[in-house]
Amino acid sequence: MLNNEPKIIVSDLNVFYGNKQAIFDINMSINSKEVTAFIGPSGCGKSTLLRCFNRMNDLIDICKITGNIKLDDLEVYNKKIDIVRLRTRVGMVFQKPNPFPKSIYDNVAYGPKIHGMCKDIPELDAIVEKSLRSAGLWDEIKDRLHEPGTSISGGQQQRLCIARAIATNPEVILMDEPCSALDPIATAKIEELIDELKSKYTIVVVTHNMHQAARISQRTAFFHLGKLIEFDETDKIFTSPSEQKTNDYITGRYG
Amino acid sequence: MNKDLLKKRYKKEKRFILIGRIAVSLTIIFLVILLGSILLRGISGFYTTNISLKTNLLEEIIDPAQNKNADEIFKASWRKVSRTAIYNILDDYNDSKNIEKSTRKEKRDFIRLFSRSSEFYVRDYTLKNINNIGEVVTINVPASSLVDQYLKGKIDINLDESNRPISDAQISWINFMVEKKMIEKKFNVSFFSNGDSRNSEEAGILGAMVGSFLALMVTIIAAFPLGVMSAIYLEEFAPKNKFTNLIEVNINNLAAVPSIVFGLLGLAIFLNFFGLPRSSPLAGGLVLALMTLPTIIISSRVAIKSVPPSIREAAMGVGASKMQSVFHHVMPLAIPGILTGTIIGMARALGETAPLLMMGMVAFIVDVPQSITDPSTVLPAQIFLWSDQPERGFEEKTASATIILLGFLLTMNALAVFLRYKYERKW
Amino acid sequence: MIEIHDHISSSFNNELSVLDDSLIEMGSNLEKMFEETLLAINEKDEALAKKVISSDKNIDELEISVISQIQTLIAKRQPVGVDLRVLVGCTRIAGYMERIGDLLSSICKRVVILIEHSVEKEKEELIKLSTAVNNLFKLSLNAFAKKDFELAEKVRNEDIDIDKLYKGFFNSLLEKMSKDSKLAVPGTHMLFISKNLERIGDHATNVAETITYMASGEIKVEPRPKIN
Repeated sequence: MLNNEPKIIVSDLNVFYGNKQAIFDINMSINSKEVTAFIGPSGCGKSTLLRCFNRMNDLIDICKITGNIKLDDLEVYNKKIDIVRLRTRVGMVFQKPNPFPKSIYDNVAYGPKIHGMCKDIPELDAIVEKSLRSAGLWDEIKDRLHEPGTSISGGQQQRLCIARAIATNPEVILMDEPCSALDPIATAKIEELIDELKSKYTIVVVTHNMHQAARISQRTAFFHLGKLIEFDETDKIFTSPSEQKTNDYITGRYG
Repeated sequence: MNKDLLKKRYKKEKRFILIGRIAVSLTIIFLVILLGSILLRGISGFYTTNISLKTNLLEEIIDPAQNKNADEIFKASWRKVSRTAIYNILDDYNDSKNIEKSTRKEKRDFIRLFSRSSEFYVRDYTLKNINNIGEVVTINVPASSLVDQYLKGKIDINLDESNRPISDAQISWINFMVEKKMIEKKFNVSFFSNGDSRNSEEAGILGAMVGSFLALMVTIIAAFPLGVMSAIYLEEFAPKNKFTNLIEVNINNLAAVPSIVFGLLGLAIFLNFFGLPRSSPLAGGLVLALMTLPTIIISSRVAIKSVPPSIREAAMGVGASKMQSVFHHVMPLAIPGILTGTIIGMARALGETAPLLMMGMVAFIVDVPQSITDPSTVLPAQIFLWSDQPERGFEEKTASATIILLGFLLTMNALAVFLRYKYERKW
Repeated sequence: MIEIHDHISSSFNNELSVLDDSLIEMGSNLEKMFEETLLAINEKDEALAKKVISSDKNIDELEISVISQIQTLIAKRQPVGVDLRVLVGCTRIAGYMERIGDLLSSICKRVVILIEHSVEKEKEELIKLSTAVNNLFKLSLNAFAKKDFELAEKVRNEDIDIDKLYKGFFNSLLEKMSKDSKLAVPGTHMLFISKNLERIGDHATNVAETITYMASGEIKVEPRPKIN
């Protein structure tokens, strides 16, 4: 079942914040149309690694990386690539739902508009509807498209952010602790959504809730102090992990 | 739990609350006293006294050629016409009191009850009602400020006659006219429609208001775009290094520089080096712009900084470029804060006097400025000028103009508060 | 009715369905094995009896698969409440079914030996007992398939009839064996067969009790009605 093609290949990746090294010698490949989970204690570098995939770490001046990340054949850290184009191929959903303070429609339409993905209004309308449907939000808000994106509940806002990320037709969706600010029912709905989305997108989820990783991912990577300790099929990691550190973490023998 | 300690804590809290209340009350009391005294002195300036003058528009004097030619009528001997009408009233008074004739001194004293530009009011009335030439008409002319101030109770009549500006005779003349219902109090339109004048009853703030308006326009056009763009660049695009830190420190310091220093700067650069017209709204506005620039930059930076990074991240995450992220997302959210800061900066600029005095805006300018290069004065400078005049009428006018200035400042600040309240976002 | 298919997560629902299907497959395989055992006893069919013996391997494999699925489910889903009881219950039911398979296999081994003897009259009693146990077993499987705990209660109460039958058969055969030495060998085998049948009845009832546990969390403390 889990024999998909690699979508993202990380080679010899090291990340530094100024003089402090945050990530050490990562080599891994994320498979296409699968959910990969990154777990590990706080400060282990999982978010940092995630943000390398769409070069969001560029926003931090003192962040430097060595090594290589490839998205299919594209070298992500090549100086010549168009970062804006990269970010339409690799979308991101953040920890705290952060819809733009515009209308729901404008939130989803913004990406396609600035990238010139549609010729006219009806086409844009279609993209907005498709994205909202894929995020499981259409039926709930189809009559409220022009209300502000911030007027809906937390769980709906996060689904709106997912719709917004989907609107640019990405190949990969990165999610940085997408449910940590939501209540259990909203969380369950998002997890169900992630399960549906994996048939079309490659999804990488960082979560500090390892049980969530167990529920939603096909492969799980366990990080500790910036190093990749174990990366295997989720079922195996959670029933009989190979590394002692992994076992200690998932059984709660240390934080 | 130590009960004594607890009691002490409660007592401390109560004392603190009490001190706070006293401080607030004192502030309110002082405010009330200040505003109240200004209001009391200035409110009367908003209405003025007029005397109705029965005037015989003698054709022989006004339009001997009977051409009804406006230019010729303009040049007629209006003083004669108006003086005749005025002396008629004196004659009426004398008749009623069985006085034979008035002395020349008495006549002069009587003339002093009327505005020195009464003849021009008669002339202007006639020019507007050219067909009434030859008839007897009733024209309202302003009373002199002596009458005005007396009727407003601003002259102490309990003093000896030699110690006060108004004589007993004048008082009885005024009472006579009041009895005959010739005296009328009405809203002082001329305060708002006239420029400055040597006659306090005619002095108005129109010139100063237009001057202030033009100067503020120059200030906004010069300072706002420059200030906001600088703030955007410094906050969003500039690298964070020692050099930019130095710039930030300097901008903060500039905001605290005494305004008169800006006046010196303006004098040296705008007037002497660039040769801009002295006492013009252009030069004054540019100096005010320099003064307001740091305020706008600082408040804009704060507004931009207060937009949470999650908005920028969300925009970048969707593939927006830095420019798109700043102008499509950050700026709309920062605009209320920027506007608030700008309005407050403008309010400060409106009330600034010292630098403009250095730039020569203390001249006595009668004409209302038509462009930004015409000589003009600004409202606070006008107030300063009037406050220097000895005439009692100007004391009242100073207070009235102060009320107007305060009114503008309050309105602008209220607008800023309203904007802030309505658009402030609770992140 | 115990509802297990209504979680928000559809993949969880699917995994529970697969588990359910595995256990029902085990159950229907056992049903078939039981039918074949009865037939083997009746028709003296050695080939059929040998088939049942080899089918037991299948049951063992299914049990391992079920246990492995349950292990993964517990690791992945951290079940609580009814989900937890269902999974714990399924573990036990798989165990009971595996033992029923073993017992059927052991019965068939003895049937092979019995075929050489002629014990028609005694066999009739045995067949009566077997049929009763078969019916009880079918009932309890039904209760599991439908997750119907009222049906499960019924099973629990009918176990006492099995006991009566078994005791009756046991005593009468013992008497016959004491009178006729020729009956010694076949009789002993028949005694063991009957004992195995009685054990199968017990396990079928255990399955039913587990269903009640799944529904209510009640672990039956009072022993079910028995005859000594």
